[in-house]
Amino acid sequence: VTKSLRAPYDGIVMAAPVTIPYVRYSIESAQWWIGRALSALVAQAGIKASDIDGLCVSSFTMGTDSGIGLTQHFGLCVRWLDTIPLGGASAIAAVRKAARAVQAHDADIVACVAGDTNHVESFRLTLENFSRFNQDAVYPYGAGGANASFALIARNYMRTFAVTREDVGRIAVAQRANALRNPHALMKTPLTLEQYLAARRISDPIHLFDCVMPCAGAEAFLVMRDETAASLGLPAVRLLSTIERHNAFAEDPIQVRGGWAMDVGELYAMAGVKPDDLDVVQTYDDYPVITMMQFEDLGFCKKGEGAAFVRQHDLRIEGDFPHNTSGGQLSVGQAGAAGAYLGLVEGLRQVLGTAGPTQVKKASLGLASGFGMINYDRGLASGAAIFAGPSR
Amino acid sequence: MIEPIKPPQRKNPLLRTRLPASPPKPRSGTSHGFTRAAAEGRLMLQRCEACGTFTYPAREASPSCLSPGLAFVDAPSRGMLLAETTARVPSDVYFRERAPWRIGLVKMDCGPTIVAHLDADCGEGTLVRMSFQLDKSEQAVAFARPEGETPNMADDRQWWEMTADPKFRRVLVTNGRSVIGQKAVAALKVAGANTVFVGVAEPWRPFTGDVLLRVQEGVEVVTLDAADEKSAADLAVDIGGKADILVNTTEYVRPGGQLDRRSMRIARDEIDQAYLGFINLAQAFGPATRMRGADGINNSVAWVHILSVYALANWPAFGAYSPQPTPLLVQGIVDCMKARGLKTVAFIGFSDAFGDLMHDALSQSAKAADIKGSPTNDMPGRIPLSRPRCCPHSLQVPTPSCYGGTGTPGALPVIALSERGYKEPLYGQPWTDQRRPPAPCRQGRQRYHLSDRAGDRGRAASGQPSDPEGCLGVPCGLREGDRRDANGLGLVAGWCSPMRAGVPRRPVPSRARRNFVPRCARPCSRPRRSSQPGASTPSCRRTASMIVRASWSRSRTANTSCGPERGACDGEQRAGGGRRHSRGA
Repeated sequence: VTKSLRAPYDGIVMAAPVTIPYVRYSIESAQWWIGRALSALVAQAGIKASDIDGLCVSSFTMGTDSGIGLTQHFGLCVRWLDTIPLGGASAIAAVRKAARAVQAHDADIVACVAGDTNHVESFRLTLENFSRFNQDAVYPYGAGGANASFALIARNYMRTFAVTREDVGRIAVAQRANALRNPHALMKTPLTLEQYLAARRISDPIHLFDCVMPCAGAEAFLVMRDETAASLGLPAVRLLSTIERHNAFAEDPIQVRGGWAMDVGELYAMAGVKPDDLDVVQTYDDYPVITMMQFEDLGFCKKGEGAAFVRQHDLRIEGDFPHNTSGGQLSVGQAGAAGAYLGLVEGLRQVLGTAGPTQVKKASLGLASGFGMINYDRGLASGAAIFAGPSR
Repeated sequence: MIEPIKPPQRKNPLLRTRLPASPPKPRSGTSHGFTRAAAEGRLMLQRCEACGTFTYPAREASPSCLSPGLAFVDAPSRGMLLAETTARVPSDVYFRERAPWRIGLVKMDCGPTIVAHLDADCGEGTLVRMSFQLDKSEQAVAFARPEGETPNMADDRQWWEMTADPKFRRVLVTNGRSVIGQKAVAALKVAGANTVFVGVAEPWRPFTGDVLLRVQEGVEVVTLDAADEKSAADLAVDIGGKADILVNTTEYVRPGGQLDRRSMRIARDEIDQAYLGFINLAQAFGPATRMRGADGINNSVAWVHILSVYALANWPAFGAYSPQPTPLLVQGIVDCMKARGLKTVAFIGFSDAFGDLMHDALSQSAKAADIKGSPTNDMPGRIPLSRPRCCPHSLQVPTPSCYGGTGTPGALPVIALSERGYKEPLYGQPWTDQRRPPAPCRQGRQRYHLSDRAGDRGRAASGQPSDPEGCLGVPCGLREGDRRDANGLGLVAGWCSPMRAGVPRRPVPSRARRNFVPRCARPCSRPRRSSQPGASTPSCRRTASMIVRASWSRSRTANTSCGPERGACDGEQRAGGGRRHSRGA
């Protein structure tokens, strides 16, 4: 089978990035949060709900619902519908699918939305029922959840590449600094490297500030063609390129690289840009070690140089490598599948120039990545997208 | 370096006893293949029949060639620990109570990587030996231990959670009159049991081996008649809360086919002891046991039921005996507990506990038992048995050394497998070959492993040759190569381990009530010759429990007298071999 060149995303744009501010615990349902996001989308885009003719949903806590249930729930009559259960890779997958749908005129305006609630027990239930392999062969082993699974990956990675906790901590500390500017971030106190190092252990080498805080919230954006955006008068972000890969490098006995490494060349080639051209980068930061891995796999440095890269760059908003400008999941919180959207939605705001207190000056070219589904021993799903704002 | 477990401190009665919790239980259907493997003490992984690739976790098709032919096969157990972590904040109650909990990712030599519980001495980058163990939910879990022996391996904190080691535990052996009971006591002491309570009905009656029981340190003879509700309840009041392991050695073996006997009496006794006695023990000791499933390092961990193999296969010479052993009953109790979310299942297997006990007795207590040799596993016509283990060793490594017998607790996963198309035999084949004579014992005598003279009489009554020298509780010498079953007592064992919270089902009698000895309401007309030393008074000396039994007998039989035909206090014959006095011969 010969590989053919992918069709470019000409004329495909994203608009109306929406964040429903997170709360630690919510008595509302996931449907409530998704409903709030859809409502905000419609309001921000100045359209009617009936103008939405495509819907793409991701959530862990919808119970028995999927996208189809939500159409009736919210009175949406759509002609294109998808439910994406890819966890942290959901946003990239959503924009890829929605882009092709509007490109082919299967739909005109696709609402991509992710939302989750967080009840007292819902996170544990998500862990317990995450996947079959997880249920069979991971959860009964200490029930440490993703923390324990990523601890194994992190420990191996840190030992293999001589990465110290200080190196990893720089990422978390920089993100906290960014989060202090974000009024919606759940973490509101400064974090020093000393505090990071002194944090209590969760699952060695994962310590408290390596972990995201489960919370409730929702994120959303619209995907449409540029002429649709123009007719609505919506400032829009052009989609330049995407990659998506699942179960990559299955032969690696333990994960030291994600699927990005397999497709990163295509990512930049399709966008026609170099890593250095990016103004703002939003990685999927379920653990800072995974972010460091992405710096390598997304081409910002070579494999094994992630620690040096972090030491050499300032990852804060005003730094030379603005990264996870909202504070990322580490400091904003992880609202289930909305965590996948967090970086992309913030990236859209950045290149639209509407990020407010977290705005990176003159940001016009952004990258957002996703990573998800630690089905057994590794994160299976990975993806990334490069997008450009109106100023570029 | 694992620190040896220290003897438990005396329990502070003011502190709350931790209630038992179970580790996560749900598994995919296919994953139960690992449970079956664990129940057999084997490490089995799926291997593709088309491409030979080993896979893990359980899959429905080979990830290398998509073939659906994934068979569970024995896999090489060696691997290397790639990375380890210590979960300090588990999200599950069971592990949270036991945190920190150490796990690791092991790259097996045969291919797959396995998330496994870790022995404390497993270090990253070192070789480990993988096995499947049954955890407290009776589900298979992978456990990695160092490749070689390390000090105090059995005392590893996480390993201890997977086992039911008799070390430091207090054990109740329900019938010390039986040979098996005495072997169990010896074996349990060797295995480090703190105290072994040995139940003996009417302990004032001497029996073979009683002196040995009474002189052993840490062995305490207690009054227990499995068939007697009050006896069991009384004992449960005294030691129910500290019997960490219960070994039910109740047996009542009398020869005689279903056609040969001329009354229901022996059959009734068999039912009283083995069937109703089982329920009685469960009711008396079950509630307290299952409250203590997480009570420190000497928590209650196991019930061992030593049942005859004739529970599963009828041998006409013992035809009436066969229906009474109770694998189905074990399952019934297990299922009751399961329905309340209370229990975890272990196993039942052919012959094994008996063989284990014998093996242990022979190998470790050979001098005391004055028996040489070792039983082996070959039982013709049955499923092959795995390696012999002594019972306490089986507790230390709680993988049943064989399996079989549907309707038994350990068979449950096997049954589930069978329903999923597992083809191997679940039952042993009934031993119906009557033409083959019992193998002679060491002295060349015919082998009847009946341990009292009543048995001899029974044999005589049923037309079988008597044992001129009388076995009297001493087993015929088992020799190397002997068939375990040849002694006439192939045995089946099972245990159900830690019981969980429950409410006692019936009120426990107060001490005053227990001590109350009612007078005999109906004086006996016949003098009684007691075998109690110095107790030759010809008057009725029935105890309260006798009256309970006698009245129960009356209610069953409408026989309103306690005269010679039914009485509990008649002559020598009854005292020696009668239905009520010779419990568990």
